[in-house]
Formats: sequence, C-alpha cells, structure tokens
Amino acid sequence: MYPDDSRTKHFMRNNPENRGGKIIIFFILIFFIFSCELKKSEDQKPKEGALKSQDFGESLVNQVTRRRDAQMRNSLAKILVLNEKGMCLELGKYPCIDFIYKVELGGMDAYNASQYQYPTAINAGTAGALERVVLSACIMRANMDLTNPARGIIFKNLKLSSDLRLIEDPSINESITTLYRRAFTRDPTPSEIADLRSMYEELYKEEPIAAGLNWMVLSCFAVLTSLEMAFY
Amino acid sequence: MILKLDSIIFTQAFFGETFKEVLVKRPFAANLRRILQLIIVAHIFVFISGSSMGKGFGPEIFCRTYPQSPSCRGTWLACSYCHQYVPPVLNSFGSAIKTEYYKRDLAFTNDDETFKQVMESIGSLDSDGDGFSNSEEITNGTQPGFKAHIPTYNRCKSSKPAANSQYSLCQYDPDYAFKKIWNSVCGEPPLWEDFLTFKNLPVSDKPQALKDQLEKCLDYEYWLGKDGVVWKIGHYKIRPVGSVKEGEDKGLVDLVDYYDDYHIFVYSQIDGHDARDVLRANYAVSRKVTNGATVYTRLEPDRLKDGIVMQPEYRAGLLTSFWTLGFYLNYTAVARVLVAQAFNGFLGISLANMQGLGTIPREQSLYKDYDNKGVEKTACAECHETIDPMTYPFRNYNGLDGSTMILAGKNSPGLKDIKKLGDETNLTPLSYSLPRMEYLSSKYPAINQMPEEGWVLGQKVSNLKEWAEVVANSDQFASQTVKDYWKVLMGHEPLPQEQTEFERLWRNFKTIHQYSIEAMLAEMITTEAFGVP
Repeated sequence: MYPDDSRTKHFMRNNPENRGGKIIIFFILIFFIFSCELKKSEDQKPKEGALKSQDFGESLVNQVTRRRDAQMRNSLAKILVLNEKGMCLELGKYPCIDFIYKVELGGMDAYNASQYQYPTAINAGTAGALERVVLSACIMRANMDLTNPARGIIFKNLKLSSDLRLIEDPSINESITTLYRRAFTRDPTPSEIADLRSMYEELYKEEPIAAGLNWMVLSCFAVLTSLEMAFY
Repeated sequence: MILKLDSIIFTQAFFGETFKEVLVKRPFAANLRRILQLIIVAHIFVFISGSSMGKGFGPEIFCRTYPQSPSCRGTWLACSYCHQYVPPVLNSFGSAIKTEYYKRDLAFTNDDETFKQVMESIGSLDSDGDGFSNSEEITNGTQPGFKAHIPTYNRCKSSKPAANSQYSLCQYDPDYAFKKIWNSVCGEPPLWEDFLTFKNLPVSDKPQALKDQLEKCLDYEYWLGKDGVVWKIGHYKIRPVGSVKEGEDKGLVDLVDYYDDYHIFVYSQIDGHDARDVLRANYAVSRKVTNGATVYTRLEPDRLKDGIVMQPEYRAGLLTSFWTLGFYLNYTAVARVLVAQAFNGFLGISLANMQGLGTIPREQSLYKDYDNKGVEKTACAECHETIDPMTYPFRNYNGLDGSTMILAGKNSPGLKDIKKLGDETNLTPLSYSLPRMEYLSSKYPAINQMPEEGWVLGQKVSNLKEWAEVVANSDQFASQTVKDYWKVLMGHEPLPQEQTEFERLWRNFKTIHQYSIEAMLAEMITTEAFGVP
C-alpha cells in the first residue's frame, strides 16, 4: 500500500538537502486547514468514512465545559508526554499558553489586565491560538517518536520508509487507538480510524516525500484540535 | 397619566399652581409664556420621574411576592429583571409593571397588595415576546424582560434512559463522572489504564471510588496551588493589581502583598476548613512549596510575627486585610467602596447596580450625611439609606490616614504616644484606631457623630465582627460560594432546571457540610447536573 520509493531517500531531520521539507509541511498544513474549511461549506453531507452521528453520544442534556488554558496545558502535556512549559514557546522563549495566548485559550489575566473572571465567550483568536499550541506540541511528539520508535508514546513502532512514507502495518491502527485513548479515554470508532487513514492518502497524493511524518503530525493535530478536546 | 401623577405635583411645588389653575385663573394669551414654562418643566420632570422609577425596594417587594422564584432564593434579584440592565431605563417587563400602576392611577410604592394585583394582571402577558409568559419565566427564574433569557427544561424528563457507544444517557453515568472529575478537578484527562480500572469496578463500588478520586484531585497543584483553581476563584474577591505588588512577583510600586489575602482565602477553602473564615479569620496563612506540593499553614495571630498590622481581636478575614484597607478604604472617611467590593465578591450583590438595597428604618439606622457628600438628597438617599449604615461598623478601621506622617518620620496628629504605635489609642494605618474620627473631623465636622453600630442584610450589628458574622452566615454567602465551584465543575451558572439541586447543595453546605468546600464538592459530583450526560 505504501511502497518504499527508493528514488527519494530524504530524511527530514538529518539531511540538510531537505530543508525545504519543513516548507513543504507548512504548505501542506495551510492547504489542509483551508481545504477543510472549503469542504465544509461546499458539501455538508458526510462522505464515506467520515464521522457518523451514531458514533457520538447525542446528549439531551447538551452541556459541555470548556477546556481552559491551564487544563489545555496540562492535558496536552499528559497526552503527549511533553514538558508543559517547553511544548510551545513563542520566539523560543515565551510560553504560549501561560503567557502569550492565555486569554485566547479561556484563561484570565488578573494581575496585569484586571480580568477577574473567565471569559464567557470564545474570542476571535481562540481557534488560531489552539491550533498554534497543538501544532507545536504535535510536531514535538512526532519527532520524538520518529527518533525512537520503540519508545514512542503515540506512534510506537510505526513502520516508515527511508523517505518517511508510511508502510502498511498494524502499528498504524495501534497509533490511532493510542492517540484516542490518551486524548479522550476511549477507543476510536471505525469511521474515525478510516478518516485518519484516508487523510494519509490525501497527504501522499500531495507530496509523497515525508508523507508519513506529515501524517503523524497532522493526525495528532486533527484529533487534538477537535471539539472533543476543546470541550469535555 | 404621567402628568396627572407627577407633573401636577411638581408644578404645584415649583410654581404654586397647577395647569388647571393657570388655565382657569388667567386668560390664555396673557399667560402663554407661563403655560409654555409649565409644559417645559412638566416634560423635564416626566423625564426625571421616569428615571426615578429604579426603586431600591423593588427586589424586596418582588421577592416577598414570589419567595419561591429561583431569582429570589440565595441571591438578590438582579436590576436587569425590570431594567434595561441597570436603572433607570425599564425593559419591557418593567414597562408592563409601570403601565399597570398608571392604569390604576398609582405610583410604584412598597405596597405588597397593590404589587400583587399588578403582577396578577401582567402574569399572562409575554412582555419580551420570547414565547413564555411572565408567570412562566418568574417560576423558572428566567428574566421576563429579556428575550434571549428563556426557561430551559430537562429534556431527559420526557425521554427514557438510553445508551450509546460512550455513555448512559439521561441517567447518572459514573464513568462519565469519573472523566469529568479528572478534567475539572485534576485538570487533565485520566490515563486509559486508570479509566479501565474504574470502569471494571462493580457498580456498587463506583460511588466511593468517585469520592476517592475527587479527594486525590483536590490535592493536585492544579486545584490548590498558586494560580490554581481555588486561587483563581479568589481573583474577583481580592481584585489584585499587578503594578502595586510587593514581595513575590513584585510590581512597579512595591506597596502591598495581596498574596497574603489569597493564602487566607485558599486556606479557608481546602482540607475541610470553614469557608466562612474568609470573612472571620483573625489569623494569617503562610504558603510553602515542598517537593512540588503547595502547603498552606495557619499562623497563630500575632501582629509582630504574622505580617498583619490589624490587632488580632479586631480582624475580620479579608475585610480587614492590609490589601483591603489599603486599597479599598485608602484615605476615604466612609467605607462605601470597601463594602461594595465585599458585597460583590462574597455575596454576588452589586450595590453599584442598585442590588441589595433593602428598607432599613431610617430613624434606627442613624443615617446622616456624616462626610458631607450630599447623600441625604432624595435621589442619593434612595441607595445610601441602605449602603451607608452598612459602612458604619468600619468607623474605627483606618486605611492609610496618618501613614504619610508616619512614613515621613513625623508624629501623626492623632498620635498621642509614639511608643504606643499600633495601639488602638493611636492613629495607626491599617489598624483599629479610636482617634480616626477625631482626625477626620477637621475635614468633615459631622463625622465624629457617625456610630459604630450599623446594619447589614436587614440586621442590626454593633461592630464589624458582628457584621462579618451576619454576612458569612447569610444564604447569599453560601449560595455565592457554592456557585463559584458550580461554575468550575459544570462550566456554567445553575440553569433553571438545575435550581433544585443547586439550592439543596448550598443549604446542605450551611448545615450538613458545615461550610466545608470539600464535603460540598463530594455531594456536587453526585448531582444530575454533574453526572448525567
């Protein structure tokens, strides 16, 4: 399913020729984010493999709680086993959640902004801030798991080709299951697994080189920026 | 109708004659100028009279008529119930009441019988046009003059318990509650293995396991550490200002360390302590982090050691802290700002928005304009008749008066003996200080007559300690305290369909749980509002 293409043997991390790899990831991310938005508005009908309503608890109570700044920080750190202070730093220095995007992520800045209550509404910067933080954390986790697959936290023993394409293996589904269990304390539904697998195919079509690593980052990103993560 | 009620009285008072008298007694042409004057004055008064409809007794009379309405239980009716957010402008519901009074040729007075008749007349109306009658909204605790505020119902009542791949729906689901305790109180999701261990427990063991998990989470730094959940609940009660911070996290002006207030607050909320201590404590609390765990330790009251200037026998928790007296009393003579902040922080009552104004017998309250601020004027007295008697018990509590002289190394005018600095016979800043009124009397001649006895929540008190007791024992304090935690665990204020559970909780908090936050939380996690997905 995911043949090892010997023409491309570029490892993202070690080969200086592949500095453009990061740029490619960036454009893929942009494409992914925008294409999601476009597709939503173009076609509201769920496509095959997409999440189905019966997969979720359709609650009549219909009450959820926002996962605010400190909860988000602690949750990401626990789910991805990262240092809570170092998993996202702006300019390599300022903590994203505790300092830069505190209010955007639902926190209050009592000492410096005299904001003594939690914001009741989600502000314009919330989605961007959440994506910024999660993307940083997911890149960190994916790279760490790539470096030492045997001790991987989410993507354990994932089989990758030399140019970082996924090789079909049970470890793919296991990784998805681990991600859902750590994030939401539940198993993924069949449609959720299918969805993440189909995402790889799309990524591969766009850029085969390093599609495996991109998939690791983006599957983590997709799950941890979902509504189920933003609220509980 | 308005002219009949208000302007005639006013023009009579102003010109000594009414429209009718003017028209009858004098020829029209000769009095044209006079008539125009009267019309203009009458219209101005119509505007003013409309503005003066925000009556301080409004919430009281409403709650006497509807004592069972959730809007009246453990809280104070919001001004926005009848007003467009704050007085004087009326919303559609307030306007309906006003119209009914005018139909009866009556003014809005503190008369229960008339009010009841008026409310019966407009009960079936839907003033805000949201599809629910005024009566329905009153019964459900929603606002009948605010279209977006509509009664909500527990949809599970018309649905049978069910289940899906994740949860048991419309019934208490311990597995759901387990995850929610982790996320809300521990601040992170449980590990899959921990969840499975819980999930596989016999159903009969799960309630105790939930309580055990809650207890563990209550010791997490996320909950009780610096800037933890409890600490943050204290933000709106203390209202810190980063620029005037002394000590840890020092600001531009290192004046006061309000972390001392947080320490007392957090201590009163953890480990089964009495939450009322936030208003009653005569002790200070220290904070220390050992092996990553924050420990709060109660210090024996000793003003030479515990860092609190106030004499221990006059301390009343955060009401008399360095920060509160320095920042909210400051150099003012009458503690109006301090009382307003205390009501806002501990009772959820906004005096600034005319909430919490009850009728206090003026002759008993010794209400007077002691500091020459004009509070006896009719428009001001509407609120200050209640607010000012609440401030009298702060009479001898000094803010910063005298501090400039002391800091300059000079004797304050109130100091009789510098050796006794800190004694109540001297004008010591941030202390109970008997010469305070004498010192202020050079500025406000009548201030010496201000009594120490006062009123709060309709009860007479002889000093601040009694004041603090009344407030700490009130339904409003219990309700507001429980609401703080309700919002943390549920993510929203109590909804109309949750009012029964919410009220039971704060009543039990006062009685069964003896003001222990942790005991109250152990009950909160068993509520439907918490555990029914």
